[in-house]
Formats: sequence, C-alpha cells, structure tokens
Amino acid sequence: MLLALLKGSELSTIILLKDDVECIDVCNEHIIYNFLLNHSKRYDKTVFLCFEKPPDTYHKLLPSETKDRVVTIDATKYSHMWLDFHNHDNKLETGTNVRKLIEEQLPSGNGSFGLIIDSLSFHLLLRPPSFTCQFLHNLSTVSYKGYEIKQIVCGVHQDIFDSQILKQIEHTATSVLTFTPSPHNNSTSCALLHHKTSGKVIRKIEYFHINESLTISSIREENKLTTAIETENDQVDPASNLTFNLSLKESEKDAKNQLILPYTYDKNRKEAALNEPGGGKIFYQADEVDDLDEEDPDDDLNI
Amino acid sequence: MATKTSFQKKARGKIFQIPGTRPSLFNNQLLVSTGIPSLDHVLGGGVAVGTVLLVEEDLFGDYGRLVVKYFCSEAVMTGQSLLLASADINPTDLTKDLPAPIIDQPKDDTRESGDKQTTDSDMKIAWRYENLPKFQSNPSGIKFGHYYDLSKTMETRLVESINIKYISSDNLYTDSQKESGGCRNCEYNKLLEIIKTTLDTSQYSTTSQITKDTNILKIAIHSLGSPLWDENGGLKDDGKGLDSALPRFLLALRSLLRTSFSVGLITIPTHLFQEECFIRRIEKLCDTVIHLESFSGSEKEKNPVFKEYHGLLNIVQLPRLNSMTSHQPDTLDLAFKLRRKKFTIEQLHLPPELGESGATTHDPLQNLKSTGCTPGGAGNSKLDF
Repeated sequence: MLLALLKGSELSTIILLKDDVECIDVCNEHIIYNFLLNHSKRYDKTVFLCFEKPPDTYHKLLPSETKDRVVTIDATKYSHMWLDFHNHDNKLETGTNVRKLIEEQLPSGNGSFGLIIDSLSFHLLLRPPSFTCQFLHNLSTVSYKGYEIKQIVCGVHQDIFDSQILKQIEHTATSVLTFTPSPHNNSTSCALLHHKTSGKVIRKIEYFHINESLTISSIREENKLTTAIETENDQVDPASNLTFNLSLKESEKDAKNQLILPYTYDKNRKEAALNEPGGGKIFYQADEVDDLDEEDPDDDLNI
Repeated sequence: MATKTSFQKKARGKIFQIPGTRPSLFNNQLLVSTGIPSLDHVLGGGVAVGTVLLVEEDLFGDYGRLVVKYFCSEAVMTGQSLLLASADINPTDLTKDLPAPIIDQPKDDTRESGDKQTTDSDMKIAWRYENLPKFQSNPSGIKFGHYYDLSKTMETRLVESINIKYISSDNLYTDSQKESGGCRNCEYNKLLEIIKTTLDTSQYSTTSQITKDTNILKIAIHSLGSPLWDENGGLKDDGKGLDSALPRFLLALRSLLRTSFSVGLITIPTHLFQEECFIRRIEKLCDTVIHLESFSGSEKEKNPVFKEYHGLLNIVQLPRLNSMTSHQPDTLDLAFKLRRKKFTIEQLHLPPELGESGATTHDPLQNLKSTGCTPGGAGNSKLDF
C-alpha cells in the first residue's frame, strides 16, 4: 500500500505524513525524498515547499533527468509571503499567499502538478488548525497557471501537537501515514489509513527498510486479519481430555475406509437397480377410512 | 328543517396538499421524506416540516454524504426547492451524482405511448383481463418517499427541473469584518442570512395562505462545523474555552425554520469536537438527532456479529412535537447496510449461528436425554430409569 501510494497507482489528493522525534530523519526526510522522486517521474511539474531544511539537501539527490521538473521553493526566504499574522483573519486570503508564492515560482505551461510540503508545523503552531485545513483544501482545489494539481504531500511532527489538532488535519487528508521506529531488526513501521475514492477505508501496518540509495525495500505487511482468525480458533478440542480413545491412527483410518458396510451398493449393482425395467410399481387399494376428498380435510373431526 | 344539524364537516379537505408531504399518522404533523424510506419509518414516518434533522457523521463522512444525497434526490423527485450548502465539497459536484429514482410507473409524457403498446399485444394466457377497464393506480403523481438506485445517477435534466440554491465556501466569504458583529464565525452568519432571505423572498412562511404554489424548501447543510467552516473542534481560536458560534447558528436556524415550510438536514462531524458537552449542546439545539457509526476501518468491521452490516445507527434524540411524548421506534438496535444499489436501515439481527460452537453441539445430547430412556442419563424426568 505504501508503494502504491508512492507510485501513484492508488489515488489520493492529500497525503499526510506523521512522524515523531524518534524517526525524524529515517522516515520523514527519506519518505519525502521518495515522494519527491516519484512525483517528479509522474507529474509534469513538482513544487517542493521547504519550511525546515534547505531544499538543496533533497534536490541534489535527485537524478539529473528529473531535476528540471522539480521547482523547489525555500519558504524561509519568502517568510513575508506566508507569515502574514496581521492578515490571517481575512478569509479571502486563506492560502492565497502560498498560492501566489507558488505561482510566482512556477513557469507557465500545462499538465499535471504535484505539491510537496516538508512540514506543516509552522502553520499549525502559528494559527488555529482550521486555518491550515482550509489552506490545504484551497490548495487542492485550484489550478495554477494551467497546471492541474494532482496530489499534495505534507509532513507534520505529531509529537509537538495535541491529538485534537492532528485529528482535524487528518480529517482533511485522504491518506494518513504514521511512521514509528519498529523494535525489531531496524525497520520502520508505517501505519496506513487510506480513504479510497470508492469510499472504502483501508487500515494497515507495514514494515520497511530504507537502504543507502534511499529506496524503500522489504515491505512486510502485518496482517491483522489472520491474528483475528487465530483468536477465534483456539477453542478447546473436546476430544483432547477423554479417558477413552476417539481419534484414529492412519492405519486404522485406512482399515475403516476399506470396510464395505452391509447394504452398500457397489457401482454395478447401483446401475442395475437404476436401469431395471418396470420395477417398483406401487399399487394402492383405497382403504375404507381413506378420505380422498380434497375439499375439506377436517370433515372427519368431531368438533 | 329537522334534517339540519349543527354538525359541520371539518374543512380540512379544502387545504391544498403540498407536494411530497403527508400528515403524520401519529400526531398529524406535516411530514417530509428523507429520501430513505427505512429511515423515515424509524423516525416515525418522516421529518416534520419546520424541524431540523441532525446527522452526526461517521468517521470518514461517507455515509453522511450519502444521506445528504438521498435527501437532495427526494427534493428533486417531489419538486421541492433545495438549498444545499457545503464547504468540504463543491455543492454542484454533490448534485452531479445523485442516486437515480426507481420509477415503477412511467412518467406522464411516456404513459400514453406505453398504454398503446400494451393494448396492441394480445394476452395469450390471461386473455380475460384484456377487456377489463383500466384503472389509474396513483392519480396524484407525486408520492411520498421514493426508492433510489445508487448504481445509476440522476439525469441532469431532472435535477435542473427544481429550484436549487448552491452555497459553497466561496459564497460565504465576507468582504469585511464589520458584518460579523458579536459572533466570531462569519461563515455561519452569512449562511444564516442567505437562508433567511431565501425564506422571506420565496414565501415559505407559514403565516401566508397555503396556495397551490406553496412548496417546501429543503435545506441541506453538509459537514457543518468541519475545519473548513473555520471551526476548531468547538474551541475558540486560542484553544481556550468553547466557541459558541455553532450553537448560536443552530438556535437561530431552528427558530427560522419553525415558522416556515422548510426542513433542515444538517450533517456534522461531531467526532472532531473535543468536548463532550459541546456535542450534547449541539444535539439539544436540533430536533431529531441520529448518529451514524461506520464499521469501516474499525475493529467492529471484522466482528462476525456485524458481518451483515456496514455500521450502526444510533438514535440520539427524537422530537417531541406538540406533545409530551415522542414517537418510539420498535427497537433502538438499528444498523445500516450499503448494498450496491441501495442504502437501508434495518433492525440489528445477530447472524444465524452456523459454525460448530459449544451451544449447538450440546443440543442433540439434551434431546436424547429428554426421550427418557437413556440409561445412565442423570436427568430429572420421572420417566428415567
């Protein structure tokens, strides 16, 4: 599922990546790089808004053929554009400043376009959560300079916000991926919650490794379904604690199967019985107590 | 002179019937269908005119949206006016894929041609019926509560035939702060204003005389109180203290609807609200409250007890209208099911136990004992020996 979301075979408008301090570099950054790489392969243009790290840290890792399709914006340089405290009450402006910023940097053209935001933390810290939700929603519904937005990927550090704020952001997102370090063999677990376009909701936990070339490998899926079935099946076997023997050994089973019971028809006899001409005719002579009148079946009752 | 009595027939029959409504069998309140006949049944026949039905959304909002769609479809089929507001989805998108009605009788314009066809073809078996006069089964044309097919979408021609007013978040932006007055949330105020002007200008008021043109306005507000309505989980901007904007809006809306021929359907994602008392407050400010609890993504999805259903329907509150008591449904254990073609609400039944669990394997033994002739059977029957 993680790979399907990465590769874009599973459609999702807003993907939220949640991480905490324990796996901040393993997951968030590497996963964001992976999304960046896949976006740049898939879409005509990718805008990468960096709020926390200089965009070069990601950009230089990209293969050269996709580099020119990625537009990186170091948002710290344009803080006057999005850090408009005085204006944030004005609903008209919700998200438009970031949109303006994107439109300024994006060369005109047409096609599909993806947006990656490395962290929503600044927005969430400085403003009420509803503002960030509206900002994301507004970004996901408009088109930019002829480009049609396909996907927004954004990261958030879940340990610096309370669950209430996160709940609202998660409500706006279509997929929520929560990354936590997994205790065994250095892998990372990713708890997926994906809302399909068909309305189906998928909840899964997957484990993966990220190797030196920053590719995701060895995805293992924890299947909750099987654990549920196992708990159902551990009922007590009634034949286990008996003073007498109910079970059969293999040899005994064979012997049992070989025994032909009386009145068992073999194949030839069965066929003969079935094809026997004119046999088994029933003659019935009416009794005097027989009531063959169908009209009133109860007329012999004295009520 | 002797034949003249003081008895006079009640002049009810003279009142025009508003399309798509019917009086309740329970308390004679004028009812409107929600579009889901099984839900109407649970709520006591339908939603009373002038009241607000609150649907508390499921975790992912899918079923809440579906209820809104059914509600809109019913407005289309009965020719009622519709006011549809949503901040999460563009409301015009919402009406694009309304479920199509299942029409068992052809509409007026196609009926005549249909009749000719049937007379032309001879009846081969039940030929005696051919000469019988034809009866029109449903002369009124518009009935109460339609069935819809989810797998088909309603024709746009049909949707456009009624008067729909769309309100998206674009309509709700206020140019300046001064309009908002005492209330913080200007989206709610704006929406209320729009509803009020619609009610005033189009004669939905109950004080005006009921004429042939009197119609019902259906007000559907999808996902009210979501973050996109500028709501922070029921809290004020700074996260301290409860925000009174939403309760105020609901109170004002209810008082508006009380004196008008309109019905409100509001879905609210109450799971986003932090304080339990805030949710209770909202529930109290609506008339009928139901809560959809979807199984999708939760542990209950795999529970064999709920295998047949997609979620539970909790009835939180039923209205007491002009009486001390409310309608009581047969049972409160209700569940909903979403099939390919329809969404239904059913009584929650446990599935038949087909697996070999403990209870069923013991049964034959007990039957044996009851025959009374089993040696060694330590039964209580006197016939045992």
